[in-house]
Amino acid sequence: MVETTEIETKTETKTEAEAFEPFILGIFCNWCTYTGADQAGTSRMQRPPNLRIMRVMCSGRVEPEMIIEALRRGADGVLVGACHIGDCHYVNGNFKTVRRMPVLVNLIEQYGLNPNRLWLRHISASEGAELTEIVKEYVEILKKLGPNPLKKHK
Amino acid sequence: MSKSDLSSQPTSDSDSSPSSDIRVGVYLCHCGVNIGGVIDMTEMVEFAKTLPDVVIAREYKFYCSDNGQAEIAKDIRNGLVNRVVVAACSPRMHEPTFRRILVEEGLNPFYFAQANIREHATWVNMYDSAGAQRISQDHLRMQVAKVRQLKALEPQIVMVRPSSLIIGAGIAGINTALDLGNQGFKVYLVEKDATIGGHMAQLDKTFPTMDCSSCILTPKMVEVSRNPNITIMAYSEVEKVDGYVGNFQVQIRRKAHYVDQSKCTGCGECALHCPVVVGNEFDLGMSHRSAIYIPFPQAVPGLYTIDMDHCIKCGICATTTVCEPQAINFDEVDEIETVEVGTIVVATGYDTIDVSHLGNYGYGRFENVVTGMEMERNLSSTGPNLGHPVRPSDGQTPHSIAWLQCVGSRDTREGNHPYCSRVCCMYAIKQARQYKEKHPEAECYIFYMDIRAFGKGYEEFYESASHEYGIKFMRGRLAEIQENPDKTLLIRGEDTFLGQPLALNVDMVVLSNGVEARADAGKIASLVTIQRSTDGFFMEAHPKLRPVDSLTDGVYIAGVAQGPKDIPDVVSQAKGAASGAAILMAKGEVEVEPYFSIVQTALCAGCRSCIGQCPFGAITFDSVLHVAHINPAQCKGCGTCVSTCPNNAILQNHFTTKQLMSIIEGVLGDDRVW
Amino acid sequence: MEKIQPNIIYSISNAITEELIKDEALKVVRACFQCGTCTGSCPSGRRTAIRTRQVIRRIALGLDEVISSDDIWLCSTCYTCYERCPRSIPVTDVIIKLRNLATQRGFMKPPHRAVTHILAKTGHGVPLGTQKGGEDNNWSLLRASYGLPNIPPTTLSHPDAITDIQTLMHATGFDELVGWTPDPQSPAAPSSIKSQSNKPSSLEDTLEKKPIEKPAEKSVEKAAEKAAKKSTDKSASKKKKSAKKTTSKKKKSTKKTTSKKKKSTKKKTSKKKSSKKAPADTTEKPKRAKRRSKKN
Repeated sequence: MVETTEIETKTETKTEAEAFEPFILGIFCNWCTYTGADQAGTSRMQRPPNLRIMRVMCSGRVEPEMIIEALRRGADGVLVGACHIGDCHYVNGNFKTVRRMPVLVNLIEQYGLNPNRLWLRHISASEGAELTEIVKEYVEILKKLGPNPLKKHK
Repeated sequence: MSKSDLSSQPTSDSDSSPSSDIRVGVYLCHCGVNIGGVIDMTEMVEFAKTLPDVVIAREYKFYCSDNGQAEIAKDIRNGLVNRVVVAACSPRMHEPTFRRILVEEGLNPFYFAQANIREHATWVNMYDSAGAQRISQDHLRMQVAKVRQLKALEPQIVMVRPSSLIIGAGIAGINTALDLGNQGFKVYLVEKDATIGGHMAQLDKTFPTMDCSSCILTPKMVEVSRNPNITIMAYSEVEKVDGYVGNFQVQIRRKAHYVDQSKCTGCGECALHCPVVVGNEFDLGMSHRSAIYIPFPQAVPGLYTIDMDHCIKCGICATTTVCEPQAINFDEVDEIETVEVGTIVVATGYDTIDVSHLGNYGYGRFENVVTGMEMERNLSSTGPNLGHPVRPSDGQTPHSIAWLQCVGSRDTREGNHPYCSRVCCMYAIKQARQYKEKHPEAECYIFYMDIRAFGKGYEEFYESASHEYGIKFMRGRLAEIQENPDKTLLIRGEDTFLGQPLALNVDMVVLSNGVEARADAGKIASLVTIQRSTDGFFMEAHPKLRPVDSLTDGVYIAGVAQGPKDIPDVVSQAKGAASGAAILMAKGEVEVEPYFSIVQTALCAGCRSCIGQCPFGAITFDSVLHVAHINPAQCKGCGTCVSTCPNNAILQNHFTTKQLMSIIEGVLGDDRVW
Repeated sequence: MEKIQPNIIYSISNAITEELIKDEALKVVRACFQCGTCTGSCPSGRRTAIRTRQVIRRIALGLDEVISSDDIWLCSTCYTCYERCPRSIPVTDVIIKLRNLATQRGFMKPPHRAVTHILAKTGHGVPLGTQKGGEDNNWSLLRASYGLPNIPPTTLSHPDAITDIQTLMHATGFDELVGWTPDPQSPAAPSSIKSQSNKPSSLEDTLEKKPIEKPAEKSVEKAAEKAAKKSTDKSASKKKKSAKKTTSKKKKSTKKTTSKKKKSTKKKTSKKKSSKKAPADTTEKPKRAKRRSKKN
């Protein structure tokens, strides 16, 4: 499923790969996904400890620079969380995200990164369970993918 | 309308590099064992101290408590810190609490950041301390980095119009309207049907007191119509909602009645002459009405409406001999009315669950299988059978009736709902009791899984149903219903107490179907931009502490639209929603977060990319200066224009590019070793 | 009338439940709220003693007695309860899994056991007429009318394959489980396999691959072909697989007490042989008790 198109910087031993805990930066919209993440918390839905959450008011606010910067600085994956289409608190901010992100995925592919390094997912305020599932899936995929090659090592 | 003076707002992002006088205080909250029980707080304190500009790092059991707040206040007062980071719960929960401390101590409230280490760390990694610690540290890194970049902002004050829109005029909407109207606020009560009253008007009696439903509802309906502050907009639907808290512009479609409502006297002569006969929706099609109709005699407003789907336009009603005031007007068209309100209450109620997909119960195939609401109308003295329920197949009085609980609810299969509808147990017991009162010799069975008699007087009601009335409670969910040749029904299930399968012949089966969110709930949600829970009902801002607020400021939720409830709970919530709305309107103004965007004119090239991106039309183009301009009053602060601007000329307050970038830099900083 | 027992103490062990819910799809069995829809829907339960709800209850509660009960064998697997369960419990799948677990632990109906013996002897669960060559049998004439060879390409035409089947059964420990011992005349299993014979294995695969009913001839042929094709190299790979599946608990015990086990195996087989003759109801309980004590 996951093809490693990445520049392999070094080969790792198996134990290292197993110990690898991907760093996921979540950029979540305030009204849907951030609230959904809160709901996942209040419902005590356990997920792997890999997601760091940053809040913006709307997924339309997410600038490509932020994602590039995060990847450049070594984040293993960026998860952009938006409202479902039609549910945007700001009418249609997520439409713009939906159109922006595929372009950006293309771009990061040109940089030599795996397109899976950037995910856009629609998670509503009541979908903590979906968020949990998505994070589990993403962690799995990123573990297979290995660390971001741009990561600075010791 | 006017937003506060904007001159104090920062206009440039350029000088925001952290200066030397930034002193960050980090306060780590244990939240009892919620956080402290999972991660090592002493280690967190040590970690916090290593972060840039952090001068103080403290831990405490509950920072939201008085003592905790006092500790933060003391540090600010003593000049030890001038930026505050609290690592605790979600900022959605306590951000306002902590900001208030800053205000009280004379610090700008926007010099505050909250790291969410409860919902996003310890609660989702309860069994992985190391993992939770890692996430908590990163969240702390992010917020400390952000707080160093934060700018002082002035909260915006907006006026709140002393008027309210209430969507839905059932028992919830009526109560909210009365409470607000009686306080002197203008209320627009919008109802999509031709009458107010909602589902409660259809009920016969109410549990557990056996009050006649109409007897307690109709006076309220009349009161609403008499209240000078309340404008009833029946047969109308909300079309569009613009604006923000305190200043909503609402477009309402007034559907054409084809009867001039100002001329109609409600005499009813037209209905007598109308040759069309259709099923009356109010009686669920069990009785008939004409094409020109009022839903039921006590309807408010009691003025006639022509149902154009069935009208044959014969014109009999329009003749002067029938309608003396000449109110009939076939050429009437829908009108759009715009009202301006300060607050909105959504009280759209529920639909009953359609049970025809449950093939094993045969609803729709077997005549003598009816739903709870059909039985309710059957039992009602104003219903199709004048309060004497009959078997639909032959019109005879049934000797044995079985009620089947949890139909469509408490069922995880596709097409059903996993939640409990909360009213079915009690209404089934009530209906059985009503039937027993009329026919003491009848056999009444209630097939249940659990009886949920949780309200005041409910358990006693349940007790007396078996004790006084001899209603037989059968524990077990029916497996299937089969029809006998004589149209009686063979029901199969298990008596789980005896542990044996049972087969029983009864005359009639009532499927106690539950409630579900309105089919158009999604439409309403996107109109007023509120969220829905997984069950489809509207989502409250906080399940316990803010049960009537929505996540959108100025919009409140009341009644079953928020989740299944019985009448007492609906009324309580309606009063709560009215109170919530009244607080805003009585104060007359509300503080809103000044997260609007600003164009830095010096950087704007005038490309106009941003203008098309703004969903609120807040950006205009200044053709003289050749730059874009954002009207802060119209800007809702999504920041979509910021990410669009090719020149980075737009900045969004509190979410500037620099601030957001600092979060990323903070957590993935140069010094971070992997 | 039974004598009143002053204390009925549940022995909740959860062992079977834990085993069952290893399958993530069956975990939902714990959500059962005992509505009785399954029992009410059960066409078998109207005529027999099966109370589906009570089977599920025992699982949810962690009572291991469920696998020794007759109830699980009374289900006709019609899937009506499965369709109607409001908690979406795959009831029928649970019962099927329970049957697998029961069989693994030796709880079998004598007729089921008898079928496995026939399989071991003939390579067919339902043997075809055993006339030498079988030319005169109706089934062989029927085959011929379809242009098929008179004798199907199963153990009938490849008698050697019976040894393969027996080898397989021996390798997986199935023969021991069903209490089958080869006739002294017939060629015994190769000694190389014998050494590995003590590995008790998960019999799930074996059970699944053994069709109990073989109605149509074509299917007979297929099944037989399968059996015939099971050459030794395949069985070797299977051994590995089955060995992997074995619970760690069992593995440990095998490693530690190989010699002991051999002895006990012999004992067990002899007991089973004797039990075969006696009615099932009377034998099952003491057998269980023995097994329990052995575990302890």
